[in-house]
Amino acid sequence: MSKVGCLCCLYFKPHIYVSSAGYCSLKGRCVFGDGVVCGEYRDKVIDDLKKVLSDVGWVYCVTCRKTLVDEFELEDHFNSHDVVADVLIDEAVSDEAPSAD
Amino acid sequence: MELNEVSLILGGAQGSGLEASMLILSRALAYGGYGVIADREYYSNITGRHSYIHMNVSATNIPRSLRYPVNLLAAMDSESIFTHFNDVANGGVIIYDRGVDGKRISDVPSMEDALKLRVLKHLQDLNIESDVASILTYLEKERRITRVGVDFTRWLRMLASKFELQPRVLSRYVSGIIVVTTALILGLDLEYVKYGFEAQFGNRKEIVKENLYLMDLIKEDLNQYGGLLQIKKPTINSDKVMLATGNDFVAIGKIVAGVRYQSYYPITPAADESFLLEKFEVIEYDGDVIGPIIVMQTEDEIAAITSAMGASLTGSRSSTATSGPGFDLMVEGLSWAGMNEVPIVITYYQRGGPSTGQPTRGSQSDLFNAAFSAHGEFARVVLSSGDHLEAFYDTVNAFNIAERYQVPVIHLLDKFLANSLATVPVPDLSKVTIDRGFTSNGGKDYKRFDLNHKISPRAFLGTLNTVMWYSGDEHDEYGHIVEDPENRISMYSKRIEKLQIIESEVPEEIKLRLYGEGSPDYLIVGWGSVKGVALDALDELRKAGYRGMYLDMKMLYPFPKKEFLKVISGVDPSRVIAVEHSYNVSISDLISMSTNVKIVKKVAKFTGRPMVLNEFVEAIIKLLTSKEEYKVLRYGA
Repeated sequence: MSKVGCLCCLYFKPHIYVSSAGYCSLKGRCVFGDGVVCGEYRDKVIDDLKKVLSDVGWVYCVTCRKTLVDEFELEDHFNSHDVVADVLIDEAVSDEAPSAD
Repeated sequence: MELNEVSLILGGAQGSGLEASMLILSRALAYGGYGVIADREYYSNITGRHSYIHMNVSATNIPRSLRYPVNLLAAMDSESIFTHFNDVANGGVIIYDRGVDGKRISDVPSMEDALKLRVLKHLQDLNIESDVASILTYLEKERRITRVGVDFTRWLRMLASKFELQPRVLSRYVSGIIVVTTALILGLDLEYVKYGFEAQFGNRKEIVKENLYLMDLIKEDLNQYGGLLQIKKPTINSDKVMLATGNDFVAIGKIVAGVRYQSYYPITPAADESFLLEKFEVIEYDGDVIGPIIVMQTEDEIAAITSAMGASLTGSRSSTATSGPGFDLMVEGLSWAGMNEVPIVITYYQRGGPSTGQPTRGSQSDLFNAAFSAHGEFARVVLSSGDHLEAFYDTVNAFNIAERYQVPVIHLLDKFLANSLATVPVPDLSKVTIDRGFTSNGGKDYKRFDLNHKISPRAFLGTLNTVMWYSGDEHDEYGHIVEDPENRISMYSKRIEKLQIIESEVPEEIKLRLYGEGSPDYLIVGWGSVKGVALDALDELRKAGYRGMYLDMKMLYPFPKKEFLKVISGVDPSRVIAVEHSYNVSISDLISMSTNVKIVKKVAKFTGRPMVLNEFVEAIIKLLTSKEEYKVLRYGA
């Protein structure tokens, strides 16, 4: 289990760009995804993500840096990419992203 | 060996901390006395896609252009390495996250397929595997490039063990890592970097403190790389410099010019100018409020120009800012301004078209759109600026011309100038004059379009006991709609003959500027942001034995025919080269239709990326030494 790290845990919300770090929604604090996991670890399975997709309307592919909005997309990305239930948006994004239209 | 100049690229995902990295590093360098120019290249999807900052830093002068190859690449992700590894000079340095060592190009879905294929082909030609480690090993062995592998996660973890980190601000530390590592390699005094952090995060003391802690960690870990690309101590002779973008300089110019109303509909690359103005809606000087500037985000560009015209008619200095698609919508209003002789400034930042085109990339392909759009004949002025400082003065000039001649003035800029950050000497305010033109106190018999004058004295809406009429139709001296043919001749001529007055009265330095040595054996003609690269090219070409001049066309409409012909009279026409970020190099067509002088040699670039020095110099030499007449530049990811 320790090899897996928080990255594969359903409760881990990776930072949108520094995906090795993020937020543990159970512990409510910053964690690093490659560390030893805790007893609350819950493996992320596709059915969990499908449920999130159905409830929230999207999940996030860390590899592609984009939201996935339908089940086919989710299935397509799930096996080879890092798909997560939620992602942590950096507060600097409004400073970092020039306005464009 | 210490370097006079260093070029570098900071690359990563848009939104991941690049902007802050550019600002902190540039502030640190400017504080230390270095000259900086930094261009940001980003995708129009705003976040996530590959973005990079291309910088040129000089210890001896204020840089005017960008150049390849670069001495240093700081890569926040693997995509930056795949995209830019070939841009790094022999003997250069690549800073990268060790965590991406094993990444293959096929693992990077955010890269566009065409670029991937080009990179794969190149790697195949070099017989290198398409993963980060193989590329870095090749660069180290074959091109003496030092790889500085850093462990972002380890440092962040150490930071987290000392402070309670907010995961939402991680990009602030990623920026810190990039900046400190770069500064160490350039051998900069880390006090400058400290200043950079304080300037960037001044109101967030905890982020400054955490970044300073990170700085100590990095310094200890990377001590061996300190001064690997040691830049010389700066010797730039300038008392005070400003570090700002072209958008900022135009906004500051508008404040100095006394603008009281600015309208806009958000659009790249114009919106940042209005955002800055919004911060100064109330201006105080010596404790007195001398503002305000009303900045109005309207529902669209039609409302933007029409509301600015309305404000102008009340006597407020008024302007709007947009780019190509927005300007297209403003054209009906432009024609109304022509008919009603409304002084208004339209700041027009060009980007890649047609249509939505490449919203976040540069272009100079709207020269004709600025000069000739709108129905009917009327007087207008199109001004362009070659650099940040010129953009400041030209903004003030634009208002003066608009009000003196009661015409719309289009101030034509582009994305490169708008978005690039540069150290610039502080503008000399003693050179600034405000000319509000011919005004009137109005009164009972006031005629807004008095035909006794080509430029009728202007009273403002709301003036006591004064009535005036404005409509889109032809009108008499009071503004009443009339269709009498004799009146039509008088009014039509009055409006359009202002162009002759403008041509004769506007000072030569606002119309064009000539740089370089007398009796040149070649002449480059351009306008706008190509000035920087053209001037640097003159210097480079002088070293190669070519004596050249650069003619910067500033007033593009009405075209300063007399002054242009005077400049060009002594030059062999086959040694004149027009340059522009467009396919057609429209300036040569404008010159041809205005003066009958045909320029056949042209340098064009329409990738959306700015012309860089190496490709520019090569193109000029090719055109001077061969029968080739047209060179297309294409360097830059």
